[in-house]
Amino acid sequence: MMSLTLWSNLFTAGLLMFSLILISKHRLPALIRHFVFASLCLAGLILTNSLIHGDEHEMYVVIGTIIIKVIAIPIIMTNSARRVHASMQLKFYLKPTATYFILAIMLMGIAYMTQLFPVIPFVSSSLIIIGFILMIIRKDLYSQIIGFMTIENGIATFGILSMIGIPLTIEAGILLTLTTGVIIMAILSRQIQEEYATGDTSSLTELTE
Amino acid sequence: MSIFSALLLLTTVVVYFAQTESQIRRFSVLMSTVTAVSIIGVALLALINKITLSIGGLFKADEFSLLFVILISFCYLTATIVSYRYINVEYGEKIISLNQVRLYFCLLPIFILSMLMTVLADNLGILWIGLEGTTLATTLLVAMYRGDAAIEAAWKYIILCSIGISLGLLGMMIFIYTGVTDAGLFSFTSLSFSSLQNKAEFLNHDTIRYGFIFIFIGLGTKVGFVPMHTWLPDAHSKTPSPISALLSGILLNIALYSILRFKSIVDISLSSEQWTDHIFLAFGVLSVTVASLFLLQQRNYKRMLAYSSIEHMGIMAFAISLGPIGLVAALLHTIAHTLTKPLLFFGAGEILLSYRTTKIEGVRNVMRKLPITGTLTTLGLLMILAVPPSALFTSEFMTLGLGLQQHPWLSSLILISLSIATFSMLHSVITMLYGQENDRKVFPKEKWNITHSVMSVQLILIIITGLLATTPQALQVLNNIAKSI
Repeated sequence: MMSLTLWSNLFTAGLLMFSLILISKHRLPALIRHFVFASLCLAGLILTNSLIHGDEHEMYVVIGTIIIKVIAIPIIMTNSARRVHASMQLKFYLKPTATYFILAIMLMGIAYMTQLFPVIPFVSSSLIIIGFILMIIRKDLYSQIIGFMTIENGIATFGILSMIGIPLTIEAGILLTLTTGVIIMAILSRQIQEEYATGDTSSLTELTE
Repeated sequence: MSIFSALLLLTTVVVYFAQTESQIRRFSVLMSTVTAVSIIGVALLALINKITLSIGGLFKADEFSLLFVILISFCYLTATIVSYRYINVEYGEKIISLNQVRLYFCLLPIFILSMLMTVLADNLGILWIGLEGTTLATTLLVAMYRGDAAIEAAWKYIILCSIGISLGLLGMMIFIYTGVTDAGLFSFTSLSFSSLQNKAEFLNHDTIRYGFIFIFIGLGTKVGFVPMHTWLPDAHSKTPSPISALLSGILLNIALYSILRFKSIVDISLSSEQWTDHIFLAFGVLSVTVASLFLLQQRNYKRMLAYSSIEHMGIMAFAISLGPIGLVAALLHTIAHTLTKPLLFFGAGEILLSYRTTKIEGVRNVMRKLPITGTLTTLGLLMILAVPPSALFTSEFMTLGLGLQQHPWLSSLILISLSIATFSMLHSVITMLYGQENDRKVFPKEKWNITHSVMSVQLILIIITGLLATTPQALQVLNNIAKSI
């Protein structure tokens, strides 16, 4: 039987793997599906860590993570895209092969930095970088939302792996605030698609100096 | 705190269910007056009697936060009164619908509540929720006019600010981590500013530096420091003018206030202010310089005011980097900027209501067509350009006097940048005030309205603050507030 530590490592690896695969997905349903898998791994990571450390209140955070990141946010995004008949095909500035090449160099840099200064775990820093890269290389609104949520997953992973144990009320507040943020982003993305008839961020050029 | 929160939430709920536009506006003004006056009263009492209030380790009202509570409440009151007229005119001209009026007055109290939460938070988590709450409450207000530019501005605003605040959250978690692992705090107490300050000497120096960089970059995005400022001119220029006044006049200061709270912990931990001062110095100089260059090429008067806010945030950061006296100058600058910038945005709102454009080239001969607005805006402009007796003159004089002693070259660069900014703003406004127009629109004679009354009160307060700021007693009060950080 697998030990809890092994499960925890497995979930950590899954979280990183699914987030890495996100970058190559060029269809919205696949992008959302991989974000759901990554968030499920995050929930699993919180669960195993709470069992290892006997921290019962983290169980509520697991439930909250599943409700918000695995169920609510994907539904909100899918519905928002369907209502405006958004194109399921996502647009890139940079092709996945080139992106993975840049990402590999950056991850090596992070691994080196983590050795020198081990405050932020490698997984956490990598997720933050993946989120940023997703927001930079993609030209569509939904990838930017998923990129933002991946950054948030990275920050949540730091909270779990560093075992700082944020109180439940504060954690619930943070999750609720994030959900509100994603709902507002979904409303705005719908308005943008109604106004511009596209979800392409490169068409947002009205406000340049 | 809970009574005031209840009042603000009650305003939102009642506005949501109100039937007519008139009911919404009237109730909002009534409630904002009751709430703001009672908050200012309680805060002034606590300030005079030097009472520090603490609520369950989650909220704390010291002299520094009480000063901000007063400024927020004052801005809330003035913005709601101005909105009473502004929104009425836009609704009358069918620029906005009843639902948009409702959205506007529903989100305004939530925005104020988020700001109050931020300044009164003694808990890092609550501070983060408050700061992100200010972004969420105002995003839909930025997008309110539904034009493509407004939605684009709102998208940039929410994405950049949310990422910034998320990086700030990472920085805060690093603070909590070092609090638990190095200072031996419990996880709950390590979330408290007071506990972190008390145990600051035990925090790991490298870890806390790392955390502060994330916080500075993250929350600095919300302050509008260059180069994280790109969202600011777009959002501030596309929002309804009373909201622009709140965003520029108080929200930027609150984000800066939040960074200052962390600076004090780092300074105690490192037993020196030098490291954090260098960061403030670099971003301060960069912000003033770049903003003044952007001011030179402005063709939109609301964007011009937004860039002026970036410039003033830069001056405050520069002042903070100059040590304890610089901090006093920064506090004075904060108060004066909070009184002056909303006045200019209210004036800009009046001009926008009449001319229906924010482009400088579309606004001419304001002094003849809108003599009251023109005069008040000109006086406000002189105040923001630090012409005596503006309190900004005293604060900038203190800042540059200190700066020339400590960093003569950088201070000279700031002086040149300020001169460029002054020239650019005067040139643009004089063109608007006295320039001859091609299109000879007929305007009815301007009558004194409630916005003019608010602008006049603000002008009087700026002049009083400017005169008071030269007295040793006032400087002593500011020094005491600065010490409470």
